[in-house]
Amino acid sequence: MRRLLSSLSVALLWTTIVLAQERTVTGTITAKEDGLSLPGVSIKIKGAATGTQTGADGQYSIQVPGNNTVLVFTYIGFASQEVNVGARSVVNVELTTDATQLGEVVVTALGISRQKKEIGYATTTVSNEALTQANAVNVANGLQGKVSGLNITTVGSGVFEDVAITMRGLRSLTGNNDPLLVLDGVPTQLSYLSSLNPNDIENVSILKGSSSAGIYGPDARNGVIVVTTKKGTDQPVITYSNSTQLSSVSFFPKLQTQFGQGGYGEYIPYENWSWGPAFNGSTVNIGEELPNGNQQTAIYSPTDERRDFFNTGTTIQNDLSFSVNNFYLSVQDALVKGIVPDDQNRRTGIRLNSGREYGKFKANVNLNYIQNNYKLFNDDGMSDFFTAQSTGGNDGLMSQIFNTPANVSLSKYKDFENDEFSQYSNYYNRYGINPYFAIDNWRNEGKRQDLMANLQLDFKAFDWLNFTYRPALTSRTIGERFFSRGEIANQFALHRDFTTVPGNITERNYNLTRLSSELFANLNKEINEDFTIEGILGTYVRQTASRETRVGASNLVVPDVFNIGNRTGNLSGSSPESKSRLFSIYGSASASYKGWANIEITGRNDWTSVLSLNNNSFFYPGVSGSLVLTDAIESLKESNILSYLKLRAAWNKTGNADINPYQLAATFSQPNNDQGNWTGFPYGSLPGYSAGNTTYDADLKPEFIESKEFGIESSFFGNRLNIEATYFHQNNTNQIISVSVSDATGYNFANLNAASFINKGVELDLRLTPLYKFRGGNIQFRANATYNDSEITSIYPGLDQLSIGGYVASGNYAIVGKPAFVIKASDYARDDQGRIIVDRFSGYPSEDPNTKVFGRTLPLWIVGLNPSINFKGFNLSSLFEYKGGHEVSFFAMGGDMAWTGVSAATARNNRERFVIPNSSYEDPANPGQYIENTNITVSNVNDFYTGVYHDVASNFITSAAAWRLRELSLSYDIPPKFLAKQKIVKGISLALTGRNLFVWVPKTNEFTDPDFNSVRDDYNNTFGIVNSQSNPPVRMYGGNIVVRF
Amino acid sequence: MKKVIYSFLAFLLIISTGCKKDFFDINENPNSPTADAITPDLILPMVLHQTAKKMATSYDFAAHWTGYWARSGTYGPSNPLENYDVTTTYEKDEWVNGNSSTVYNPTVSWYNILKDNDVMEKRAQETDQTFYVAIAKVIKSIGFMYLVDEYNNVPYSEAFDLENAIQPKYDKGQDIYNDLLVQLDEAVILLADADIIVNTGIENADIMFSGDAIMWKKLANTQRLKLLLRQSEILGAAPTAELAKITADGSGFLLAGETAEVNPGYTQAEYQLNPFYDTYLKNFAGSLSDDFNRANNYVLNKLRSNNDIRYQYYFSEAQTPLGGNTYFGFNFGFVDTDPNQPKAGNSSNVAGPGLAKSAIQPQWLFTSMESLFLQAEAMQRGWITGDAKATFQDAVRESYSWLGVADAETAANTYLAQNLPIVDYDGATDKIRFIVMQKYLSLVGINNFEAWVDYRRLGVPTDLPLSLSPSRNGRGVPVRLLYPQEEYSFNSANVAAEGTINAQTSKVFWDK
Repeated sequence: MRRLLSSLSVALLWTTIVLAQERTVTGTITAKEDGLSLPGVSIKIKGAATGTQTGADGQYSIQVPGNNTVLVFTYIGFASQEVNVGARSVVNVELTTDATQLGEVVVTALGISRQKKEIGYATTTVSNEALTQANAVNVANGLQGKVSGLNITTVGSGVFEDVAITMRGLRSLTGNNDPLLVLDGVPTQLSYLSSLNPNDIENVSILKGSSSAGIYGPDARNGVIVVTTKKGTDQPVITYSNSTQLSSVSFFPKLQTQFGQGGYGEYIPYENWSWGPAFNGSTVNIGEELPNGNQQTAIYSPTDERRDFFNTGTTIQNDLSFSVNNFYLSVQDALVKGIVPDDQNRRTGIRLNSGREYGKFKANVNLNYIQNNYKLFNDDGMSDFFTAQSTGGNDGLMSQIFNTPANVSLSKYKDFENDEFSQYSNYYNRYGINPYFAIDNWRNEGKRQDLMANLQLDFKAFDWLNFTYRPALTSRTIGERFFSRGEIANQFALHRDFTTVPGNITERNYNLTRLSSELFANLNKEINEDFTIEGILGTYVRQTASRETRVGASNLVVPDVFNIGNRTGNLSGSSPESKSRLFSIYGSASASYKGWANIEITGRNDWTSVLSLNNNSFFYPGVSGSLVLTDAIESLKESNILSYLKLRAAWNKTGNADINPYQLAATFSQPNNDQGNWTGFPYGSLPGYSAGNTTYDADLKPEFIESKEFGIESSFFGNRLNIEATYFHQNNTNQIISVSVSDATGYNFANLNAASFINKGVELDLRLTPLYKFRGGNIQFRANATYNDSEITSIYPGLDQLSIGGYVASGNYAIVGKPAFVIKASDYARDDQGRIIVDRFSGYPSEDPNTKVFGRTLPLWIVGLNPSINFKGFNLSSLFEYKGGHEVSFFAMGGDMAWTGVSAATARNNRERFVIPNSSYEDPANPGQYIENTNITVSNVNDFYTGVYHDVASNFITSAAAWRLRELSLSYDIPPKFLAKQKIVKGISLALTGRNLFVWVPKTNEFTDPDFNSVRDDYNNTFGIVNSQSNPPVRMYGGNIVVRF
Repeated sequence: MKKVIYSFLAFLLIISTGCKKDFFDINENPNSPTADAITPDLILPMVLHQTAKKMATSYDFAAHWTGYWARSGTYGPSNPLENYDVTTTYEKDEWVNGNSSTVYNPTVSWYNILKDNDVMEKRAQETDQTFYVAIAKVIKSIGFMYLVDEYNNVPYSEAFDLENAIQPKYDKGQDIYNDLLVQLDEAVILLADADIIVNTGIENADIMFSGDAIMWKKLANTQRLKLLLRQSEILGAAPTAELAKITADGSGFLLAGETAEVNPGYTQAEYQLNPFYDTYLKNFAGSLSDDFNRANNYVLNKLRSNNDIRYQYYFSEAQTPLGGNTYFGFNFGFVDTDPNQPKAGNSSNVAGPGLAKSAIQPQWLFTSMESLFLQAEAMQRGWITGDAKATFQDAVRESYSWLGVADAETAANTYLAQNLPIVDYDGATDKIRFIVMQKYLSLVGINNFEAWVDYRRLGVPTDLPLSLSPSRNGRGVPVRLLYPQEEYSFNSANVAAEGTINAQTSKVFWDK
């Protein structure tokens, strides 16, 4: 049939040619963004039925009837262009990517591209240009602020730029809320996102709802990030880019600069407290006299050296790629040096994407190998040392730094090996440690290797039926060691209550492999002119296996020999393994009427090994639809104002059992942690077992989430104004969670089906492209906003709250009727008017034994604003991001700062006795009645701040709202005419970029970046908990150059 | 075409059915044993070691409150320890497990120890290993006694039954005590018939008595006497029925030289040192492990002023003495604003040579001198027959020899022979408080908890100074601990039913 049609059109064409004054027009079509040629561009003569396509080299040739011919160039993903041929015989055209997204293609399930207008759920595509505009080191940072519904939080400022990602809030109270990463069609763990080279990426599609879970399986309930890497282009292109960036501390806790070393107003030369007298410029001793009689002295006035402890970090990244016809090869080398001296990570990666077609067969292979080599300060090692000294309050590198009194010049202590005042044993501070010594002593050095490989075999049985087989392997290997060099305290040190720092080493080897195999058939058939149907039927099987081996020696004999054989005492260690399997059958069927009415139904059944064999099979369905009103309704087609209007809706249910293997039965062990078997067992031949802290439900069932979403997509004034809005509502039931229980049950946690909550919100996207047009350029404006709220509806019979992570004095809680999560923390005892009750004699308040509920820990609003200006090859783009409506607790960090008297708060009243604002005291004549306090002052300011003020968490809870300038970039493409004289260089672009340049927070936040989270590694669903292990946040700025050959 | 689709469907069907059971049956835990694989002998060493460790190292607060220990000059004020303003998080690891993957050396709560003990009892019952059952009952009577003594009403009858009671109710302290005596009844009966052959591995697993049933009965009888004496102020009459059970058993009490102590094989390696030595003296690397706890001037002076050499065994000489003060202590709660105040290194630590003799010594759990003092008090009360004075003197002599005092018997006799009220039994008007005061002086740092119990029960020592903390605000030594914050969060209805608890006034049931 088709052959007949095409011969018909050839005949028609022939007729036209004969009739008119035909002649041949040729040309090359290229993409404006990268200058690469575009194959498969459709070229039609306006008003006629005839046309052609560009070949593999982007060239075309067409017969045109005469000089008045207008050619229409269309290509998916690009804005179509009409060109008047005139008398020309060569017409070269540059197509620009279509910012309006109307013709946008979204890479959806299984790597299948679909027209966005056919999709019944919310999606967003981020192009490579948008992703890399400010030289983000990893993909997650590049997505920050650009997509509504997506909450990307930078949780630390280390060399890995740790991030937490959630989409549309939470679906699990204690479990996994990570969106699924789909890399070239293969589901992959989200953690690999930080390993990918942003420059290798063609585009990122964000599938926000859980609709794609029907095809991708249970991991897709949290949304999907579909990353498609670059395939080859038709002409050979070599691209080299270099990016150099600097990072420096952008926000430092507010410290007081009025009072120095000492306690209770007295100067004490060896104190870490800053409770000494006011600065007066006199000369004072620092530390005690050394045994040789040497004594260091300094002027008693403030310095700014605590801030200077941190280096300017650098990131130097070099990329080289070669691309030709279905072949893409790239190499990347990135060297990141952190702000903590001696912290560095070097990432080296290589990627090969290649494919070949043989008639009906097509084979593609994607290979990616990445190596991270890192050397870091190991904060946990130092913390364990302090804990063993029972001085646990001084944990964290930040604590060592801000504990340094303002009058001490910290930088003097860099040479801890040679300088006698800087050596461990002679350090001036009796209660702290030289931070330069610390970062040298406790180290973590390792290598992380990631291999991602997949093979895709396609067999096109018919034009409308395609079979795909896709086996894939992802593997991660980590080999690392944590060690302490050790330092023997000399006699002088021992007499000053110093102790020997033991030398120790722990070796860790971790290996994770995930093998998957997927087979599916994809059917796409045009029934008639109006109806198209599409169907997918497939099967997926996956095995995940891991092993982690740790072995350690806690007391090395000869210093600096890091071999576990160089020890006294026992070896410690463990070697757990795990294995799980998943098998699925899935299918979808969709129908489209004239392209403007679309419906899709999906269904999937999973079998998993992590549930008992009686409960391990579960099915979940979904349905979604879309309606393009501007196509469907005749009267709208004509509208001058409204260019596009689409309505969409989706409903689906997803099931999952996203738990680790072996969570059906309680276990016993000889308890151990990373450092060793802390109960001592086994003692030689004597074992000793203890019941684990968690009990499990052997009959655990999968949890289900029911999601609904409604959306509208519209554009106005010829696509200049685009508005997209989505409302979503998710009911999460029967959650598999670890319920904290009374210790009297014998356990701390019971792992069972419990807890339900509702998660809902609105996502808004606005684009003004262009907002304003002027000669040679334009101004564009994009904005997105997300409103996300949730409510816990139940926990467990008899239980109405759940602690997340177990921080009792100030932690995250799920409480029925409240959003997930709220901070629950300690506060002062208050009277019924909310006034702080103070003691009638001492003026001190006391801590209320009952903790109180404070605000939510997840933002209610996230707003991104992205104005940009284009002018003659220059592009100035900025991205502002706001998060607000939530609170953060700096209890651990703020408490430390109050204890040592360094925080600005401790000097607010010049350390004079003061009346606590809004306080009252009990009427001695009428117990239970409280009188407003106007004259009872705290009896000792030093005791107040180091005592009850330091203990009460509410003093350190503040609004977590923040505005940030996430990105600012100025880029310039050298115009092609400057390069025209030579043939080697095809394009050069230059850019100056800045990331996280400014953060604006409320005055009450005197601590650090409210997005930071010090405990995420341990408890991935806690938010807003910052302690002194978090380093200050950084701003990054630098430049990059991209050269194409 | 149809063929293709059908064969594809057939393929799917084949893998889906073929994949069933075997393919998914891989969820047996390969890393840790589950309940079926656990036998009593694997748990008992853990239970005994943890019980002894807890009794010896978890009661710093009691030592501070009762005049044994004080904070060294190295540290600033420590509240609530020193202002007695007990909170719901203070000492919560008595109840709540401090277990965590990130904490260096977490403390283990009583409920955690008793959970293991409970599993051991149940597993032993299933296999008729009655010796293990009996041991579990004796340990239960110790652990729950501590919980009641600290919190009064606590979950007991519904404890360790998560499936039926995820929120266990609280039982009355008196009812728990009554049942603990029943547990001891049962234990003694089981011990009488204990068969070592049936109780696999008990000679090794019993790291306290190596499977010696007689010694376990002596411990059970002494523990029974302790439970009864706790209630001395509320009983009214002698508990003759309970005392008769001790006589009926016939094994008697722990005697001189019969300290119940555990030794799993303590050795000079990380986490494997004797717990007391490790906590208060030196760690595995040879570093001093405790800069905080130092001699309290009250007890130091009490000993020195009565020529009681034992202070040199309870406390160490200062590392760097100032002004010739080789034994130097602090006043409890005193906030010294003098920058040149003596520090930890200038004062006496609490792991004296009589207590921390070596890193590999056994860990005491119930000392012989405590047993003798309990007997002396019971004799004085007329509860059991015997010469109270002679027994009290035996107890003092046992204390001297236990500490390793040179020429202990002579030294003890010299001390006892002095004409001082502290040793003058005959001249004492209140002989019970006199005996208990001597018990107080014999258990310094050894059983700190007992001192707090006796202070609450009898007000001994009668001249104990209260904390000098500037923020004490009129509070006295707390009469109990507050229920931990976790209970208010995870067992809220039951803890709420206990009403408002005040650590200054809400006394435990035996405290009148």
